[in-house]
Amino acid sequence: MTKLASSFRDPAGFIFKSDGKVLRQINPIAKADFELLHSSGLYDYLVKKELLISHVEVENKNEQAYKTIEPEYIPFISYPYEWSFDQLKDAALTTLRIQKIALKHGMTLKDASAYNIQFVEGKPKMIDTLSFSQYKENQVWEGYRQFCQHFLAPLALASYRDIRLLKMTSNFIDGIPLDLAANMLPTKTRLKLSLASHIHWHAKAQTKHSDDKKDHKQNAKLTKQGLLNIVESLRSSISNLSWNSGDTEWGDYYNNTNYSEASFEQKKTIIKEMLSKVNGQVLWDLGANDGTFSQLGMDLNMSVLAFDIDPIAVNKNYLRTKREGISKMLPILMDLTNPSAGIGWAHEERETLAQRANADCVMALALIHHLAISNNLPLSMIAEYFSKLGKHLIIEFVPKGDSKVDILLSSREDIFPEYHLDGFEKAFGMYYDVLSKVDIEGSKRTLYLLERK
Amino acid sequence: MRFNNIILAIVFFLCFVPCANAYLDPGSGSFIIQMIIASVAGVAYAMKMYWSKIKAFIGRRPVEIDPDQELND
Repeated sequence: MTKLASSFRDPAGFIFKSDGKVLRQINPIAKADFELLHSSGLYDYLVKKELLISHVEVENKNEQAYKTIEPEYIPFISYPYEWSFDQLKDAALTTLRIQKIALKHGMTLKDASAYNIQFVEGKPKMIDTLSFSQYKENQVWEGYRQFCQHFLAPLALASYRDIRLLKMTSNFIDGIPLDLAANMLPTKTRLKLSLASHIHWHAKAQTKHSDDKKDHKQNAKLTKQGLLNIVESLRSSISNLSWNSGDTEWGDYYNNTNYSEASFEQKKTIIKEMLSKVNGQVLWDLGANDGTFSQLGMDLNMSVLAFDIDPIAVNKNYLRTKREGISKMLPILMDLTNPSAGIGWAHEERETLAQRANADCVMALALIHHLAISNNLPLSMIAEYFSKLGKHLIIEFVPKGDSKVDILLSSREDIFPEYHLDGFEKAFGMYYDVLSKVDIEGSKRTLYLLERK
Repeated sequence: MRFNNIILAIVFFLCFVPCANAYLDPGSGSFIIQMIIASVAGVAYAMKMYWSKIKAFIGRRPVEIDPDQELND
């Protein structure tokens, strides 16, 4: 049995791996709440509405445990700092909807961590079955501060300041401190009742009462309607936050490539053939932009993780998957020159990108020049890292003389003597065997299908 | 009366109910601010609902449908 490092905070239970399965132990302290979750009808309702992952009870091998359950398997755990604006917003609204439903069943969310939400088949779902506890009359919401820190603060900062501030959540594992958010938000947010109260007043109240003794704390009560008012107020605040910053470098990428229509179609055909050869289930499309080529994997019934560095591209891609009901693709915000690190206690609470690698095939199209030239990465280092992410690699080599590479080199000295086709084959040959190699007609580019040695 | 004094006055008259199995420290400030917001938000929400019904009545905007309406019935 291996206890997962992410699951130590709540004494109600923990997640562990056993015989290749991910299981959850429920401790005796959580017996009453777990029983109420089922007897109140809350579990059935949330599962029916696709708001909570389902679970089955399995043999309990630990006599100190109350029960052991096997939750619905989630192939890839993504983190809030890897989500686009609307992904975080939908995760927030889902959390609030769940809280409202829980209250109607006589229960409440005892926490409101963004890490408790995962995108499963395109939809945000609660994954922590032990987050529900019995609602006691006049109880305040224990998870309120956490909700504001994990969801409202980063969304408000992204909306009012800069979309890149969403990435701050990787530096603050329990969400953005509200005094920091209050300092960073523009003055006009003090005039909006929702943000003034949930962030500015909230931050002030925290500072003022940070040294209060516990018995002083124990003077708070709230009616259920009052609690529902707070949930509704948060829902309204989040719903009204939007983000629209115009286009970025990549927002309109496929209308600005140097491919002819014929070359573009040929590229698609070659990639489809290569993906068929791989015959895998999971595709990681690195630098997926709007998911044009990710679609080829989905056509072959592969599950696709569509990574991109551009928050606009990822958000557009997410909104499209949502609009079109695409369940096989999950857009992920990722800067490959600085992929997600291990964070939290002992760097183990949240895993690195490579630790979560589950790809049968990795795809890196029109990407290598950005890594090798814009980021000075030696080709061998790129090959080594990619080989850790998946067994197969479909990669497009973009040589010097291609207009996109020439643009990158136009403003700097060419210090890349090894950046050519032979250099590429030599570097990647250290980690991969070549299964196929095809030149894209009407361009200087070459596509490779590689298999890890 | 200053805002902070209002907070203190409200807290003074309220009493607490402990929560079972709580493992987060929600902080005193967060408790207190919830009580303030619950009242303010209640008034704001009632006004908003009233206004949205007027707008819906004159055909300017449809009333939002609660996806969990069945729980209210």
